[in-house]
Amino acid sequence: MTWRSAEFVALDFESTGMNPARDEVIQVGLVPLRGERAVLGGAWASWVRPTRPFQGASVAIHGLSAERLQDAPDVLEVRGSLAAHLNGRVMIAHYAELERGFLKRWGMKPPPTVDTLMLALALDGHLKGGQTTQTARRDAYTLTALARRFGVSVYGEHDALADALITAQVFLVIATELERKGRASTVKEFTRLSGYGGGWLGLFG
Amino acid sequence: MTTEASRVGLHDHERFLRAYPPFSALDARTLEALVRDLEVLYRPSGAAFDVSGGLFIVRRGELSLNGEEYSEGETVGGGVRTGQARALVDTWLYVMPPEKAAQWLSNPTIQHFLTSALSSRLNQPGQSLDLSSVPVGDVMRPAELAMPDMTVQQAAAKMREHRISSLMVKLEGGVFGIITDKDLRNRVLAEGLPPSTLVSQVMTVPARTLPDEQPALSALNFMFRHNIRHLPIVRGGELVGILGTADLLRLQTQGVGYVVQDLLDAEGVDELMAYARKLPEYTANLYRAGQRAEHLSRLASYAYDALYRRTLQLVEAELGPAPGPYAWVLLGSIARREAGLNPDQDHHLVIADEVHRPYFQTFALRVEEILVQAGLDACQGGVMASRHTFTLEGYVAQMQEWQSIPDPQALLNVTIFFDPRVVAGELDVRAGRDARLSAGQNPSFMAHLTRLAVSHRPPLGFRQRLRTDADHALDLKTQGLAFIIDLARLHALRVGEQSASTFVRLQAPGESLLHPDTRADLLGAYRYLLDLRMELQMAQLSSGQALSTRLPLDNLSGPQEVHLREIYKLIGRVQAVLAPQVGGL
Repeated sequence: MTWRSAEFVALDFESTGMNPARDEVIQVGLVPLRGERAVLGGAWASWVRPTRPFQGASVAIHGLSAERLQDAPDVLEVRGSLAAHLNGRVMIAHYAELERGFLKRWGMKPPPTVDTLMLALALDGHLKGGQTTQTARRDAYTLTALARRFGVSVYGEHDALADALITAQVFLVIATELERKGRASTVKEFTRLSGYGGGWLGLFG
Repeated sequence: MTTEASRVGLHDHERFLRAYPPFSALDARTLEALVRDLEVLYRPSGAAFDVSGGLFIVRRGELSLNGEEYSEGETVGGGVRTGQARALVDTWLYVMPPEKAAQWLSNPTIQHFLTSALSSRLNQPGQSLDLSSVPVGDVMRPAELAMPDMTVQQAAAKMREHRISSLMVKLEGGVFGIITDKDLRNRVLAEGLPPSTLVSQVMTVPARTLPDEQPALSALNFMFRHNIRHLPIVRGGELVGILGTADLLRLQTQGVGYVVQDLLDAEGVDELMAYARKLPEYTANLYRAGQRAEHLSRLASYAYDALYRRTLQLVEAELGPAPGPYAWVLLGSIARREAGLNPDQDHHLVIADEVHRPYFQTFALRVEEILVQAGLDACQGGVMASRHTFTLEGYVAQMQEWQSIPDPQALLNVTIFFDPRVVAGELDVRAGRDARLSAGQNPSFMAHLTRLAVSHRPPLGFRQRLRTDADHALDLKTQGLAFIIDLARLHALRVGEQSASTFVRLQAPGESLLHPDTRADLLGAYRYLLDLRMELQMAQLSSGQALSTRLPLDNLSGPQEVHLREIYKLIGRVQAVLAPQVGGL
């Protein structure tokens, strides 16, 4: 299926840390894409009530107080809504390992995934046989750096929905460019370039 | 589903749209709902796409549609601006899909923006009374009568009792006389006449009158032309009221009306200059009070007229009375009643007889000197009475000569003479006016003038971006107002409209190369540019800078830039239509 007729959802988690086994998701943000259009009306976000107290450092980053989060829906509730949003769609995330890790931690099966970080590296020729080449500068591939490069406004950093929207837009540019260069145009090719297209997933591309 | 958490994430899109029309006019709740009906779309440089269904708003980048270019904040589609668009650079767009757009297009604000002509989009309705549409009957006050055989003392007592400064005197045969507080001072006290003097001995008779259905603006003009401050208003020979100049001006303002009176009453040059120097600040105050620049310029022009008239009177008092009748003719922005806060002196003089030239030479130089000190800079092109004094015959001959100049560029410096207004003097200049207006029937002259008007292109550069000089600024006069003034002049000459006012000219009926809709658009654009100039000069005034018409581009807000580009596109279109009709450029 060509990417222009596929249903995607760009997803971003704000979490207390980078380790899905230990850290917790505190905000979920997502925006659906109908092919090449990000649908603002479908944008959805939710805070998530933590299951245990977390360290001061992440409070500072997110500007959130523990009290505020205490009133948020719990994981079970958020997981139900999130599953409905993900259902039948291809997930887009920047460095999707993290989102996929947290989904698994919540007992959810990660959907077919497109990773904007991997696609950006592929676009610039920094991806060889699934491995990143040594020439890629890490700071050129942060979500913010890519957004600036592609003319996407950066706002509301560390807001899951703002980041999901930026991820969606970054994807639209990269997908357009990869297609224009004849590198990839189907969902299968995008998931494979992202490193999630091997194995049985390929059968359904 | 809107949650508090998701509103944060969409905030950026609302903030962006709020900066641009028509979205700027939507309330917060409506705008939030509108954003939820949008989709974000990317179009790489060179990509073509159809904008026939739905609405498309440029978020970033640039696209071309039907030969015109649209950039950040501009809206296309909506069933109005439709066709194949092409992205000129990598472009981000908001798209409202057709099924959602149908509902939003019935929103009056959005519908109005998309379907209305440029003129009405640029012009929100003003709040102030418009002197040009209000009949004097609506603003006059009841007149108080004096009997011809009343003594001046009784008349003065009656004025004090009613707190008025004039009394009407009803005479036989439907004629009226008038006696004012000024008459009591100048004709009674100053002459040493006794309090028992009769009103009939010192009144002015017959008093000039005006019918009550005339617009207030005509009354104001009439009073200025005849140098009177109290105007009896009649209906079918019956006295129905009285109108004072100050009443008229105060109707709209709390400022210029007083200053006009002060200027006219100034006892000497120093006092006159002191009042004149307040004019920019007075005008600026009115703008702060919410008046549009168009109205302010008109009001301020009465103060400038008063300044000219009083200056001429004072100089006549200095030099002795003029040896013959003359007409002092204003040119340029004050003549058009469209001046900013720093109008130049532009004028010429028409005299009755060549032998009077030496007197008028001295006269004109002295007038110009006083006006410079009053804050009116000398015209840079030297179009001033001391260098341009014509006899009436000389004026007619000069007009005919200009009309036969074969080179359009040579006309460049004389077009200003085609926007005149007599501010003072008794000389009958109708022959001059006829000679001037005959230009409109001279096809080769009109073709030259048209070529001249289209040879000066609006400052739109690559991809119709605003193009500026090295100082990154635009001159709102030469790169804005002047385009429209030139086009209005063409229309006026063609249809025989004698007013110098760009507004009156563009609204003058009759067939010319400019379609009525185009003229309406130009009028709206002109009004907008006047506001922009006023805002610029207000800022200069409050920061103590020299007043100028150079607008630094950095001072433009996004929506202002959108409007300015739209105005330049309009002017470009008009020029493109005119140019082939006069054999191109």
